[in-house]
Amino acid sequence: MKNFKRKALAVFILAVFVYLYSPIAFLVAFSFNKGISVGGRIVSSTVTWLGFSLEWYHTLFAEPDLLRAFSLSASIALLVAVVSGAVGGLAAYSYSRYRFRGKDGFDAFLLVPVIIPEITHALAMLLYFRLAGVNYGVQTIIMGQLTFAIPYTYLVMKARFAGYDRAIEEAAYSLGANEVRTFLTVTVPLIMPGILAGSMLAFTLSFDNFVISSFLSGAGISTLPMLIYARIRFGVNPDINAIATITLTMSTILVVVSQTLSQRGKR
Amino acid sequence: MKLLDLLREKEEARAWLLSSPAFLYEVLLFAAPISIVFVFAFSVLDPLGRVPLAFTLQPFLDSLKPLYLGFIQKTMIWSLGVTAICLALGYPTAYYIAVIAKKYRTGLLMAIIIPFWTSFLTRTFAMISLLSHDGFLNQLLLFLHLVQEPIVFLNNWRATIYGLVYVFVPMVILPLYASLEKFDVSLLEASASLGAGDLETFLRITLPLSMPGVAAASILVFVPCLGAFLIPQLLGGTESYMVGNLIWTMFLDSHVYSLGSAFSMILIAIVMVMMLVYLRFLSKKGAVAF
Repeated sequence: MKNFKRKALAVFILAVFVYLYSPIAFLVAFSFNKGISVGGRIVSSTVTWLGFSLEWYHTLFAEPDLLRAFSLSASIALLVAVVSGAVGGLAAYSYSRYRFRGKDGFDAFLLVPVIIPEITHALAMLLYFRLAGVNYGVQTIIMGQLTFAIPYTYLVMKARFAGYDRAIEEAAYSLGANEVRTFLTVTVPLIMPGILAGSMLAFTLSFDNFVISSFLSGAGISTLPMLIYARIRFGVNPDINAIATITLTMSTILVVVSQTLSQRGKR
Repeated sequence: MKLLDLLREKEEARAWLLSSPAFLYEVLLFAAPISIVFVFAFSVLDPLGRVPLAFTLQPFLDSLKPLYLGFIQKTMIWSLGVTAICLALGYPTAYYIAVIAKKYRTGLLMAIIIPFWTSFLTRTFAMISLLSHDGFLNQLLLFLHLVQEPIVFLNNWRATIYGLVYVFVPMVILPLYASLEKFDVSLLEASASLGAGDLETFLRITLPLSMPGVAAASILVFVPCLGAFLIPQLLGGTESYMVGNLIWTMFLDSHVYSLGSAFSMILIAIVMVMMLVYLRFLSKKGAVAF
C-alpha cells in the first residue's frame, strides 16, 4: 500500500514537470524546424516537423533591430546590476552591521516597491516623469528599473549578510589594520558572494523586465522583452522560437552556475 | 574634517550614510510617484490630466459601480483560485523533492528554478504556441483521434488561469521546499507508531510544521496575481481582463487618470493589507520564510 502511494506521488510529480516543461520543450524543438516557402516568404510551421535546420538562428543574425534590442537589454541590465548591487549592497550591509534609529522603518520601506503591483508602479512613474517634463528614453528605463532592482538586491543581500560576524573585523583591527584595509581585505571578500547573488538577480530582473520598460521607453526604443511582446501581439515571427531558445539557454547556464556557486559556498 | 570625525565616532552616522543612497533613491523615484497617484485619486483634474484642481471623492464613488466592483471581485476570486491550485500542485512536488527524493534534490530543484528564471514573455509565448488553434497540443489530439475539431484553448478565462498557474507554480515550490527541507522524517514514524493514519499524520504533523512555507508561498502567488495583466491580455483576451487590465485601459486608452489612480490605490491597499496580515502571522510564528 505504501509502495503504491509512493508511486502515485511519483506519477503526480512527473505530471507537474510535464506541465512545466511541455511548452518550453515544444518551443525549443520547433526553433530547429525547417522553414517552408509560402508565397515567396519563408515561414516556419508550428505544426509539422519538416526536418532539422539552423536557419532561424541564421536569420536572427540578419536582423539589426533584434540585435540592437538584445544589446540594449544586456547593457541596461549590466548597468542596473552594478548600480543596484552597490546601492542595495551598502544598505544591506548597514542593516546587518549597525544598530540605528529608524532601522525597522527603513527595512519596511524598502519592502514596498517589491510587493506593489508592477502596473501601478509603472503608471505612477509615467505620470511623474510626465509632470516633471523628463524626456523618455533609455535613461527613464534605467531609472524605473532601479526602483525595484535596488530593493530586490537589498533583500537578497540582507539575507546573505544575516550571519555576518563582526568579531572578524574587530580581530583585524586588533591586529593593527586600519578601517580601509580591514574593509578591503576582510569585509569585502566576506560579503562578495552575497553581492554577486544580488547583482545576478538584478541582472535577470532587468533583462526580463517588460512592464516598467515599455511604459517609460518613449518612441523608437525597444528592449528585447518589448520586441518579443510586439511580435507576440502583432503577428508571430517564427524566429521568436530561436530567440526564446537562446534566452532559455542563457538562464539555464545562469541557474546552474549560481546553484553550483552557492553549493560550494555552503561547504 | 568634522564630518569624518563624526563618522568615525558615531556608528549611527555611518549606518545612515550607507543607507542613504537607497533611501533617497526610493523616496524620489518610488514614494514621490506613488504619492502623485494618491493625490490624483482624490482630485478633479484639469482637462489635460496634469494639475489637480479640487478635492473630490468621486473616483472612489465611481469605483463602487457594479461593473467595477465585479472586476475587483473577479480578480480576488481568481487570485485565490490560482493560489489554491498552485499549492495543490506545488506542495506534493516540494514534499517529494525535500523528503522523498533526497538523492536527486539538487537536480530536481534546478529543474524547478530554470523556468522560474526564464523570461516571463518567453514562457508566455511558449504557452501560446502550445495552446493555439493549430498549436502542438491540438495537433497531438487530432493525431491521436481524441478530437475531431481543434479545441479552443485560448482567449477565455481558463487560459488565464492556466497561464497564471504556470507562471507561479515554481514560486510556491521554492519556499515550500525551504520549509520542508528541515523536516524530521522520524516524526512520521513516531506518529505512525502511535497509531495515526497517513491523513492524520499529514494534518497534525507535516502540515502544521510546514505552515510558514505555505504562508510564504501563498503570499508570493496571491499578491502578484492581484496585479497580473500580461497573462490575461495575451492568453485570456478581453473576456478575462482583471483589475490590472482595467487600470491599464483607464490610463492608456480612456485617459481617465483620476479613476485609474483610484483603482491603483484600491489595488495597492488590498496588497498592503494582505502583506500586513502575512507579517502579523510571521511575527506570531517567529519564523522567517522569505
